[in-house]
Amino acid sequence: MNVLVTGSTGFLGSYFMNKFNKKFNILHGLSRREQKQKDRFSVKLSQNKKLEKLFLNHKYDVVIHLGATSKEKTKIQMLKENCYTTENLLQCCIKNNVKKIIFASATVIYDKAHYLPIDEIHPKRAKTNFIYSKIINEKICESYRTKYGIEVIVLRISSVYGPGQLEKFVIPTLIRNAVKNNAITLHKYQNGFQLMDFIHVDDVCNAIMLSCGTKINSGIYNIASGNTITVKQIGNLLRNILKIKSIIIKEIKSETEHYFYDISLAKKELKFLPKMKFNEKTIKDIIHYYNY
Amino acid sequence: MIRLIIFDFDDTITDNSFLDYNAFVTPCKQLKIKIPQQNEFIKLRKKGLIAKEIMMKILKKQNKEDMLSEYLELRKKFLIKESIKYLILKKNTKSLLNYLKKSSMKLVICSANNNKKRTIKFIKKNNLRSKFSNILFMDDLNFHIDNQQKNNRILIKSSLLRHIIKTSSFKKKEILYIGNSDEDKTAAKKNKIQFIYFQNTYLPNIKNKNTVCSMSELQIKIKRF
Repeated sequence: MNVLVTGSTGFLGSYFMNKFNKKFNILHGLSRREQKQKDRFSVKLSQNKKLEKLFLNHKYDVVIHLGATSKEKTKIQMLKENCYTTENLLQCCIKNNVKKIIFASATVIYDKAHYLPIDEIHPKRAKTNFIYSKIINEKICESYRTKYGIEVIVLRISSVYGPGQLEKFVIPTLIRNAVKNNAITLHKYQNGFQLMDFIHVDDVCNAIMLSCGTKINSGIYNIASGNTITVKQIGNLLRNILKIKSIIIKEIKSETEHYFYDISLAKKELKFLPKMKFNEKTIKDIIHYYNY
Repeated sequence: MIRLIIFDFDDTITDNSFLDYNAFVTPCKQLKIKIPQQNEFIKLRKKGLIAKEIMMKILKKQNKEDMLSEYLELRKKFLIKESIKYLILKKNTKSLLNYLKKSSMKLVICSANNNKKRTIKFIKKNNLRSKFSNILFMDDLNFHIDNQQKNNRILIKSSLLRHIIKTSSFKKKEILYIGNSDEDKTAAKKNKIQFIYFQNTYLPNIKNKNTVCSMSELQIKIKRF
Protein backbone atom coordinates (compact mmCIF):
# COMPACT_ATOMS: atom_id res chain seq x y z
CA MET A 1 0.00 0.00 0.00
CA ASN A 2 1.34 3.45 -0.97
CA VAL A 3 0.45 6.11 1.54
CA LEU A 4 0.88 9.87 1.66
CA VAL A 5 0.61 11.78 4.94
CA THR A 6 0.01 15.53 4.93
CA GLY A 7 1.12 17.51 7.96
CA SER A 8 4.02 15.14 8.49
CA THR A 9 6.01 17.59 10.61
CA GLY A 10 3.13 18.05 13.05
CA PHE A 11 2.75 16.25 16.37
CA LEU A 12 0.47 13.54 15.00
CA GLY A 13 2.05 13.29 11.53
CA SER A 14 5.61 12.86 12.74
CA TYR A 15 4.58 10.27 15.35
CA PHE A 16 2.66 8.31 12.70
CA MET A 17 5.56 8.45 10.22
CA ASN A 18 8.02 7.20 12.83
CA LYS A 19 5.77 4.48 14.13
CA PHE A 20 4.61 2.98 10.85
CA ASN A 21 7.43 3.74 8.39
CA LYS A 22 8.05 0.04 7.77
CA LYS A 23 4.43 -1.03 7.53
CA PHE A 24 3.74 0.30 4.01
CA ASN A 25 5.39 -0.13 0.59
CA ILE A 26 5.67 3.63 0.38
CA LEU A 27 5.04 6.06 3.22
CA HIS A 28 5.63 9.65 2.19
CA GLY A 29 5.25 12.75 4.29
CA LEU A 30 4.19 16.14 3.09
CA SER A 31 4.58 19.43 4.89
CA ARG A 32 4.84 23.13 4.20
CA ARG A 33 7.89 23.18 6.47
CA GLU A 34 11.35 22.09 5.37
CA GLN A 35 12.13 18.41 5.70
CA LYS A 36 15.43 16.65 5.27
CA GLN A 37 14.47 12.98 5.11
CA LYS A 38 14.24 11.26 1.71
CA ASP A 39 10.65 10.14 2.11
CA ARG A 40 9.39 13.58 3.13
CA PHE A 41 8.59 16.46 0.83
CA SER A 42 8.29 20.18 1.42
CA VAL A 43 5.26 21.00 -0.68
CA LYS A 44 2.42 23.33 0.19
CA LEU A 45 -1.02 21.92 -0.51
CA SER A 46 -1.82 25.06 -2.46
CA GLN A 47 1.03 24.36 -4.93
CA ASN A 48 -1.01 22.50 -7.54
CA LYS A 49 1.73 21.61 -9.99
CA LYS A 50 4.16 20.28 -7.39
CA LEU A 51 1.36 18.32 -5.79
CA GLU A 52 0.22 16.77 -9.07
CA LYS A 53 3.78 15.81 -9.98
CA LEU A 54 4.16 14.05 -6.67
CA PHE A 55 0.90 12.15 -7.16
CA LEU A 56 1.90 11.20 -10.72
CA ASN A 57 5.28 9.84 -9.66
CA HIS A 58 3.99 7.76 -6.80
CA LYS A 59 0.74 5.90 -7.20
CA TYR A 60 -0.76 6.53 -3.78
CA ASP A 61 -3.56 4.28 -2.59
CA VAL A 62 -4.35 6.15 0.58
CA VAL A 63 -3.93 9.79 1.59
CA ILE A 64 -3.96 10.68 5.28
CA HIS A 65 -4.83 14.35 5.57
CA LEU A 66 -3.50 15.64 8.89
CA GLY A 67 -2.19 19.00 7.71
CA ALA A 68 -3.95 22.14 8.93
CA THR A 69 -3.29 25.54 10.39
CA SER A 70 -4.55 25.63 13.95
CA LYS A 71 -3.50 29.20 14.68
CA GLU A 72 -6.63 31.34 14.70
CA LYS A 73 -6.93 33.68 11.69
CA THR A 74 -9.73 35.45 9.86
CA LYS A 75 -12.43 33.29 8.34
CA ILE A 76 -11.25 33.98 4.78
CA GLN A 77 -7.63 33.18 5.61
CA MET A 78 -8.70 30.04 7.41
CA LEU A 79 -10.79 28.91 4.43
CA LYS A 80 -7.83 29.59 2.16
CA GLU A 81 -5.30 27.76 4.29
CA ASN A 82 -7.38 24.84 5.48
CA CYS A 83 -10.26 24.32 3.04
CA TYR A 84 -8.90 25.43 -0.32
CA THR A 85 -5.92 23.15 0.33
CA THR A 86 -8.19 20.21 1.14
CA GLU A 87 -10.08 20.83 -2.10
CA ASN A 88 -6.76 20.81 -4.01
CA LEU A 89 -5.64 17.64 -2.35
CA LEU A 90 -8.94 15.90 -3.09
CA GLN A 91 -8.82 16.95 -6.73
CA CYS A 92 -5.34 15.41 -7.00
CA CYS A 93 -6.66 12.27 -5.33
CA ILE A 94 -9.50 11.96 -7.86
CA LYS A 95 -7.24 12.63 -10.87
CA ASN A 96 -4.75 10.01 -9.72
CA ASN A 97 -7.21 7.33 -8.65
CA VAL A 98 -6.47 7.40 -4.94
CA LYS A 99 -8.81 4.89 -3.31
CA LYS A 100 -9.16 6.33 0.13
CA ILE A 101 -8.69 9.54 2.07
CA ILE A 102 -8.50 9.68 5.83
CA PHE A 103 -9.30 13.12 7.15
CA ALA A 104 -8.31 14.17 10.66
CA SER A 105 -11.12 16.28 12.02
CA ALA A 106 -11.49 17.19 15.68
CA THR A 107 -14.04 16.72 18.44
CA VAL A 108 -13.93 20.47 19.09
CA ILE A 109 -16.47 20.79 16.29
CA TYR A 110 -19.19 19.62 18.70
CA ASP A 111 -21.35 22.15 20.47
CA LYS A 112 -21.33 22.36 24.27
CA ALA A 113 -22.42 18.89 25.45
CA HIS A 114 -26.15 18.37 25.05
CA TYR A 115 -25.60 14.91 26.54
CA LEU A 116 -22.69 12.72 27.53
CA PRO A 117 -20.92 10.83 26.09
CA ILE A 118 -20.98 12.90 22.90
CA ASP A 119 -21.62 10.72 19.87
CA GLU A 120 -21.11 11.36 16.15
CA ILE A 121 -24.60 12.80 15.63
CA HIS A 122 -24.30 15.38 18.42
CA PRO A 123 -25.00 18.96 17.22
CA LYS A 124 -21.96 20.90 16.02
CA ARG A 125 -21.06 24.57 16.37
CA ALA A 126 -18.33 26.65 14.79
CA LYS A 127 -17.06 28.46 17.88
CA THR A 128 -13.86 29.60 16.16
CA ASN A 129 -12.71 30.03 12.57
CA PHE A 130 -10.47 26.98 12.93
CA ILE A 131 -13.48 24.85 13.95
CA TYR A 132 -15.45 26.40 11.10
CA SER A 133 -12.77 25.26 8.66
CA LYS A 134 -12.84 21.74 10.11
CA ILE A 135 -16.62 21.54 9.62
CA ILE A 136 -16.30 22.82 6.04
CA ASN A 137 -13.52 20.31 5.37
CA GLU A 138 -15.75 17.47 6.50
CA LYS A 139 -18.42 18.72 4.08
CA ILE A 140 -15.88 18.92 1.24
CA CYS A 141 -14.79 15.33 1.90
CA GLU A 142 -18.42 14.21 2.00
CA SER A 143 -19.19 15.93 -1.32
CA TYR A 144 -16.21 14.21 -3.02
CA ARG A 145 -17.37 10.89 -1.65
CA THR A 146 -20.86 11.27 -3.07
CA LYS A 147 -19.74 12.81 -6.37
CA TYR A 148 -16.68 10.69 -7.20
CA GLY A 149 -17.09 7.66 -4.98
CA ILE A 150 -13.76 8.05 -3.22
CA GLU A 151 -13.68 6.31 0.16
CA VAL A 152 -13.63 8.86 2.96
CA ILE A 153 -12.96 8.12 6.61
CA VAL A 154 -13.33 11.10 8.93
CA LEU A 155 -11.73 10.76 12.34
CA ARG A 156 -12.88 13.27 14.92
CA ILE A 157 -9.96 13.25 17.27
CA SER A 158 -10.22 14.32 20.90
CA SER A 159 -7.53 16.18 22.90
CA VAL A 160 -4.30 14.38 22.12
CA TYR A 161 -1.34 14.14 24.49
CA GLY A 162 1.99 12.39 24.43
CA PRO A 163 5.69 12.97 23.85
CA GLY A 164 6.30 15.47 21.06
CA GLN A 165 3.34 17.74 21.73
CA LEU A 166 3.93 21.48 21.76
CA GLU A 167 4.53 22.75 25.27
CA LYS A 168 1.64 25.23 25.17
CA PHE A 169 -0.99 22.47 25.56
CA VAL A 170 -2.69 21.51 28.85
CA ILE A 171 -0.80 18.37 29.82
CA PRO A 172 2.76 19.62 29.08
CA THR A 173 1.91 22.92 30.81
CA LEU A 174 0.69 21.16 33.95
CA ILE A 175 3.72 18.88 34.01
CA ARG A 176 6.16 21.74 33.41
CA ASN A 177 4.65 23.80 36.22
CA ALA A 178 4.70 20.81 38.51
CA VAL A 179 8.38 20.07 37.82
CA LYS A 180 9.68 23.63 37.80
CA ASN A 181 7.58 25.30 40.50
CA ASN A 182 6.87 22.28 42.67
CA ALA A 183 3.25 23.43 42.68
CA ILE A 184 0.26 23.31 40.40
CA THR A 185 -2.86 25.38 40.17
CA LEU A 186 -6.10 23.62 39.34
CA HIS A 187 -9.28 25.36 38.34
CA LYS A 188 -12.51 24.44 40.03
CA TYR A 189 -15.61 25.86 38.38
CA GLN A 190 -19.04 26.43 39.88
CA ASN A 191 -20.17 23.15 38.38
CA GLY A 192 -17.09 21.26 39.60
CA PHE A 193 -13.84 20.16 38.04
CA GLN A 194 -14.01 19.89 34.28
CA LEU A 195 -14.58 16.41 32.84
CA MET A 196 -12.23 15.82 29.93
CA ASP A 197 -11.25 13.08 27.52
CA PHE A 198 -7.58 12.82 26.59
CA ILE A 199 -6.21 10.30 24.13
CA HIS A 200 -2.60 9.25 23.75
CA VAL A 201 -0.99 9.98 20.39
CA ASP A 202 -0.10 6.30 20.04
CA ASP A 203 -3.77 5.31 20.16
CA VAL A 204 -4.67 7.98 17.58
CA CYS A 205 -1.99 6.62 15.24
CA ASN A 206 -3.40 3.11 15.72
CA ALA A 207 -6.85 4.43 14.79
CA ILE A 208 -5.43 5.97 11.59
CA MET A 209 -3.69 2.68 10.80
CA LEU A 210 -6.93 0.76 11.33
CA SER A 211 -8.72 3.24 9.03
CA CYS A 212 -6.14 2.52 6.30
CA GLY A 213 -6.81 -1.19 6.43
CA THR A 214 -10.54 -1.27 7.09
CA LYS A 215 -12.96 -2.70 4.57
CA ILE A 216 -15.53 -0.09 5.60
CA ASN A 217 -15.93 2.31 2.70
CA SER A 218 -16.76 5.50 4.52
CA GLY A 219 -17.66 6.76 7.93
CA ILE A 220 -17.27 9.36 10.63
CA TYR A 221 -15.81 8.22 13.93
CA ASN A 222 -14.98 9.71 17.29
CA ILE A 223 -11.43 8.86 18.27
CA ALA A 224 -11.04 9.36 21.99
CA SER A 225 -10.29 7.37 25.11
CA GLY A 226 -13.99 7.07 25.94
CA ASN A 227 -13.09 7.68 29.59
CA THR A 228 -13.37 10.75 31.73
CA ILE A 229 -10.58 12.41 33.60
CA THR A 230 -10.69 15.58 35.67
CA VAL A 231 -7.94 18.12 36.26
CA LYS A 232 -8.06 17.08 39.91
CA GLN A 233 -7.26 13.48 38.98
CA ILE A 234 -4.36 14.67 36.83
CA GLY A 235 -3.18 16.83 39.73
CA ASN A 236 -3.29 13.89 42.13
CA LEU A 237 -1.31 11.74 39.68
CA LEU A 238 1.34 14.44 39.35
CA ARG A 239 1.50 14.83 43.12
CA ASN A 240 2.19 11.10 43.52
CA ILE A 241 4.85 11.00 40.81
CA LEU A 242 6.63 14.28 41.41
CA LYS A 243 5.99 14.57 45.16
CA ILE A 244 4.58 18.07 44.69
CA LYS A 245 4.21 20.04 47.89
CA SER A 246 1.17 22.08 47.05
CA ILE A 247 -1.86 21.88 44.84
CA ILE A 248 -3.64 25.22 44.69
CA ILE A 249 -7.30 25.04 43.83
CA LYS A 250 -8.54 28.23 42.25
CA GLU A 251 -12.31 28.70 42.36
CA ILE A 252 -13.64 30.11 39.08
CA LYS A 253 -16.97 31.89 39.16
CA SER A 254 -18.17 30.72 35.76
CA GLU A 255 -19.27 27.28 34.65
CA THR A 256 -17.14 24.96 32.57
CA GLU A 257 -18.05 22.64 29.72
CA HIS A 258 -17.77 18.94 30.43
CA TYR A 259 -16.93 16.63 27.57
CA PHE A 260 -16.13 13.04 26.77
CA TYR A 261 -16.89 10.99 23.72
CA ASP A 262 -18.75 7.90 22.65
CA ILE A 263 -16.33 5.69 20.74
CA SER A 264 -18.61 2.68 20.33
CA LEU A 265 -18.92 3.19 16.56
CA ALA A 266 -15.13 3.22 16.07
CA LYS A 267 -14.87 0.17 18.32
CA LYS A 268 -17.49 -1.67 16.30
CA GLU A 269 -16.52 -0.73 12.76
CA LEU A 270 -12.79 0.03 12.93
CA LYS A 271 -12.10 -2.41 15.80
CA PHE A 272 -10.44 0.51 17.54
CA LEU A 273 -9.50 -0.04 21.17
CA PRO A 274 -7.52 2.61 23.06
CA LYS A 275 -4.68 0.89 24.90
CA MET A 276 -2.79 3.73 26.54
CA LYS A 277 -4.03 4.93 29.89
CA PHE A 278 -3.34 8.24 31.50
CA ASN A 279 -1.14 6.93 34.29
CA GLU A 280 2.28 7.26 35.89
CA LYS A 281 4.04 5.59 32.96
CA THR A 282 2.66 7.94 30.31
CA ILE A 283 3.43 10.98 32.46
CA LYS A 284 6.99 9.77 33.06
CA ASP A 285 7.41 9.33 29.28
CA ILE A 286 6.39 12.95 28.73
CA ILE A 287 8.70 14.21 31.49
CA HIS A 288 11.54 12.20 29.95
CA TYR A 289 10.80 13.58 26.46
CA TYR A 290 10.90 17.22 27.50
CA ASN A 291 13.88 16.53 29.73
CA TYR A 292 12.40 18.49 32.64
CA MET B 1 -48.53 6.93 19.23
CA ILE B 2 -46.60 6.80 22.49
CA ARG B 3 -44.92 3.46 23.18
CA LEU B 4 -42.30 4.33 25.76
CA ILE B 5 -42.87 6.57 28.79
CA ILE B 6 -39.96 7.80 30.86
CA PHE B 7 -40.81 9.00 34.36
CA ASP B 8 -38.72 11.25 36.47
CA PHE B 9 -38.69 9.96 40.05
CA ASP B 10 -38.50 12.66 42.73
CA ASP B 11 -41.63 14.78 42.82
CA THR B 12 -43.08 13.14 39.74
CA ILE B 13 -43.91 9.68 41.02
CA THR B 14 -43.35 10.68 44.61
CA ASP B 15 -44.60 13.57 46.69
CA ASN B 16 -41.45 15.05 48.19
CA SER B 17 -42.90 18.06 50.01
CA PHE B 18 -43.00 16.34 53.42
CA LEU B 19 -39.47 14.99 52.97
CA ASP B 20 -38.21 18.30 51.64
CA TYR B 21 -39.35 20.28 54.66
CA ASN B 22 -38.12 17.69 57.15
CA ALA B 23 -34.74 17.44 55.42
CA PHE B 24 -34.52 21.21 55.71
CA VAL B 25 -35.61 21.46 59.32
CA THR B 26 -33.91 18.49 61.03
CA PRO B 27 -30.31 19.70 60.55
CA CYS B 28 -31.45 23.18 61.65
CA LYS B 29 -32.62 21.72 64.95
CA GLN B 30 -29.31 19.91 65.39
CA LEU B 31 -27.34 23.10 64.73
CA LYS B 32 -29.72 25.34 66.68
CA ILE B 33 -30.55 27.51 63.69
CA LYS B 34 -33.85 29.41 63.83
CA ILE B 35 -36.09 27.84 61.22
CA PRO B 36 -38.85 29.30 59.04
CA GLN B 37 -42.46 28.15 59.20
CA GLN B 38 -43.52 25.60 56.59
CA ASN B 39 -45.63 28.23 54.76
CA GLU B 40 -42.68 30.58 54.53
CA PHE B 41 -40.46 27.74 53.33
CA ILE B 42 -43.01 26.81 50.63
CA LYS B 43 -43.19 30.47 49.57
CA LEU B 44 -39.44 30.56 49.01
CA ARG B 45 -39.52 27.22 47.19
CA LYS B 46 -42.27 28.60 44.95
CA LYS B 47 -39.88 31.37 43.99
CA GLY B 48 -37.68 28.63 42.56
CA LEU B 49 -35.00 28.63 45.30
CA ILE B 50 -33.29 25.37 46.21
CA ALA B 51 -32.74 24.34 49.86
CA LYS B 52 -29.12 25.53 49.81
CA GLU B 53 -30.12 29.00 48.63
CA ILE B 54 -32.88 29.29 51.25
CA MET B 55 -30.47 28.26 54.00
CA MET B 56 -27.90 30.78 52.77
CA LYS B 57 -30.51 33.52 53.17
CA ILE B 58 -31.45 32.37 56.67
CA LEU B 59 -27.85 32.06 57.82
CA LYS B 60 -27.03 35.49 56.45
CA LYS B 61 -29.84 37.02 58.53
CA GLN B 62 -28.57 35.24 61.62
CA ASN B 63 -24.88 36.00 60.91
CA LYS B 64 -24.07 32.30 60.86
CA GLU B 65 -22.86 31.98 57.27
CA ASP B 66 -19.92 29.79 58.27
CA MET B 67 -22.34 27.03 59.29
CA LEU B 68 -23.49 26.38 55.73
CA SER B 69 -21.11 23.52 54.90
CA GLU B 70 -21.85 21.81 58.23
CA TYR B 71 -25.57 22.22 57.59
CA LEU B 72 -25.32 20.80 54.07
CA GLU B 73 -23.35 17.82 55.35
CA LEU B 74 -26.04 17.04 57.94
CA ARG B 75 -28.78 17.48 55.35
CA LYS B 76 -26.99 15.08 53.01
CA LYS B 77 -26.73 12.52 55.83
CA PHE B 78 -30.41 12.94 56.61
CA LEU B 79 -31.39 12.44 52.97
CA ILE B 80 -29.30 9.27 52.72
CA LYS B 81 -30.43 7.70 55.99
CA GLU B 82 -33.90 8.97 56.78
CA SER B 83 -35.53 10.02 53.54
CA ILE B 84 -37.32 6.73 52.89
CA LYS B 85 -39.52 7.38 55.97
CA TYR B 86 -40.78 10.68 54.62
CA LEU B 87 -41.21 9.81 50.96
CA ILE B 88 -44.83 9.36 49.80
CA LEU B 89 -46.19 7.88 46.58
CA LYS B 90 -48.37 10.34 44.69
CA LYS B 91 -52.10 9.68 44.67
CA ASN B 92 -53.43 7.38 41.92
CA THR B 93 -49.91 6.50 40.74
CA LYS B 94 -50.56 2.77 40.90
CA SER B 95 -53.80 2.95 38.93
CA LEU B 96 -52.10 5.06 36.25
CA LEU B 97 -49.20 2.62 35.98
CA ASN B 98 -51.61 -0.31 35.76
CA TYR B 99 -53.51 1.44 32.99
CA LEU B 100 -50.30 2.17 31.04
CA LYS B 101 -49.10 -1.38 31.48
CA LYS B 102 -52.41 -2.71 30.16
CA SER B 103 -52.06 -0.42 27.16
CA SER B 104 -48.74 -2.24 26.44
CA MET B 105 -46.59 0.79 27.01
CA LYS B 106 -43.03 0.36 28.14
CA LEU B 107 -42.26 2.29 31.32
CA VAL B 108 -38.88 3.49 32.53
CA ILE B 109 -37.74 5.55 35.53
CA CYS B 110 -34.86 7.96 35.08
CA SER B 111 -33.48 9.94 37.98
CA ALA B 112 -30.63 12.38 38.38
CA ASN B 113 -30.40 11.73 42.11
CA ASN B 114 -27.46 9.78 43.44
CA ASN B 115 -29.38 7.95 46.15
CA LYS B 116 -30.01 4.79 44.17
CA LYS B 117 -30.41 2.55 47.23
CA ARG B 118 -33.16 4.70 48.69
CA THR B 119 -35.05 4.87 45.41
CA ILE B 120 -34.88 1.11 44.81
CA LYS B 121 -36.02 0.52 48.40
CA PHE B 122 -38.97 2.83 47.89
CA ILE B 123 -39.96 1.16 44.63
CA LYS B 124 -39.81 -2.28 46.23
CA LYS B 125 -41.73 -1.09 49.28
CA ASN B 126 -44.55 0.11 47.03
CA ASN B 127 -44.52 -2.96 44.77
CA LEU B 128 -43.70 -0.92 41.68
CA ARG B 129 -40.69 -2.84 40.35
CA SER B 130 -42.72 -5.05 38.00
CA LYS B 131 -44.29 -1.99 36.38
CA PHE B 132 -40.99 -0.65 35.06
CA SER B 133 -38.78 -2.34 32.53
CA ASN B 134 -35.77 -0.28 33.54
CA ILE B 135 -34.67 2.12 36.26
CA LEU B 136 -31.75 4.41 35.50
CA PHE B 137 -29.78 6.64 37.85
CA MET B 138 -26.85 8.99 37.67
CA ASP B 139 -24.73 6.11 39.03
CA ASP B 140 -25.45 4.19 35.81
CA LEU B 141 -23.65 6.81 33.74
CA ASN B 142 -19.90 6.41 33.54
CA PHE B 143 -19.18 9.91 34.70
CA HIS B 144 -19.79 11.77 37.89
CA ILE B 145 -20.46 15.48 38.29
CA ASP B 146 -21.97 17.62 40.99
CA ASN B 147 -25.75 17.37 40.59
CA GLN B 148 -26.45 20.50 42.64
CA GLN B 149 -25.70 22.76 39.66
CA LYS B 150 -28.56 23.47 37.26
CA ASN B 151 -26.52 22.98 34.08
CA ASN B 152 -25.03 19.76 35.41
CA ARG B 153 -28.50 18.47 36.24
CA ILE B 154 -29.58 19.17 32.64
CA LEU B 155 -26.52 17.32 31.39
CA ILE B 156 -27.18 14.31 33.64
CA LYS B 157 -30.86 14.12 32.67
CA SER B 158 -30.09 14.64 29.03
CA SER B 159 -27.44 11.90 29.08
CA LEU B 160 -29.79 9.47 30.81
CA LEU B 161 -32.52 10.17 28.24
CA ARG B 162 -29.99 9.77 25.44
CA HIS B 163 -28.96 6.40 26.88
CA ILE B 164 -32.58 5.23 27.05
CA ILE B 165 -33.34 6.40 23.50
CA LYS B 166 -30.22 4.71 22.12
CA THR B 167 -30.84 1.40 23.84
CA SER B 168 -34.56 1.27 23.02
CA SER B 169 -35.99 0.29 19.68
CA PHE B 170 -38.49 3.15 19.59
CA LYS B 171 -38.51 6.25 17.43
CA LYS B 172 -38.18 9.61 19.17
CA LYS B 173 -41.79 10.54 18.41
CA GLU B 174 -42.92 7.39 20.25
CA ILE B 175 -41.18 8.43 23.45
CA LEU B 176 -42.70 10.63 26.16
CA TYR B 177 -40.89 12.03 29.16
CA ILE B 178 -42.70 13.13 32.29
CA GLY B 179 -40.77 15.44 34.57
CA ASN B 180 -41.28 18.20 37.07
CA SER B 181 -38.65 20.83 36.37
CA ASP B 182 -37.29 23.16 33.74
CA GLU B 183 -34.15 21.01 33.63
CA ASP B 184 -36.29 18.01 32.67
CA LYS B 185 -37.99 20.07 29.98
CA THR B 186 -34.66 21.25 28.53
CA ALA B 187 -33.29 17.70 28.59
CA ALA B 188 -36.35 16.45 26.68
CA LYS B 189 -36.00 19.29 24.17
CA LYS B 190 -32.32 18.52 23.61
CA ASN B 191 -33.21 14.91 22.89
CA LYS B 192 -36.17 15.91 20.73
CA ILE B 193 -38.71 13.83 22.60
CA GLN B 194 -42.17 14.84 23.86
CA PHE B 195 -42.58 16.17 27.36
CA ILE B 196 -45.28 16.58 29.98
CA TYR B 197 -44.67 18.94 32.87
CA PHE B 198 -45.89 17.57 36.21
CA GLN B 199 -46.73 20.61 38.30
CA ASN B 200 -45.34 20.54 41.83
CA THR B 201 -47.20 21.67 44.90
CA TYR B 202 -44.49 24.14 45.83
CA LEU B 203 -42.79 25.06 42.60
CA PRO B 204 -43.75 28.14 40.53
CA ASN B 205 -47.01 27.71 38.61
CA ILE B 206 -46.51 27.12 34.91
CA LYS B 207 -49.23 27.74 32.40
CA ASN B 208 -48.64 25.39 29.54
CA LYS B 209 -50.86 23.08 27.54
CA ASN B 210 -48.60 20.19 28.49
CA THR B 211 -48.75 20.78 32.23
CA VAL B 212 -50.61 18.47 34.60
CA CYS B 213 -51.26 18.62 38.33
CA SER B 214 -52.41 15.09 39.13
CA MET B 215 -52.08 11.50 37.98
CA SER B 216 -55.66 11.43 36.68
CA GLU B 217 -54.96 14.53 34.59
CA LEU B 218 -51.79 12.87 33.35
CA GLN B 219 -53.76 9.79 32.28
CA ILE B 220 -56.11 11.94 30.19
CA LYS B 221 -53.16 13.77 28.65
CA ILE B 222 -51.38 10.54 27.68
CA LYS B 223 -54.58 9.21 26.07
CA ARG B 224 -54.63 12.27 23.82
CA PHE B 225 -51.10 11.77 22.50
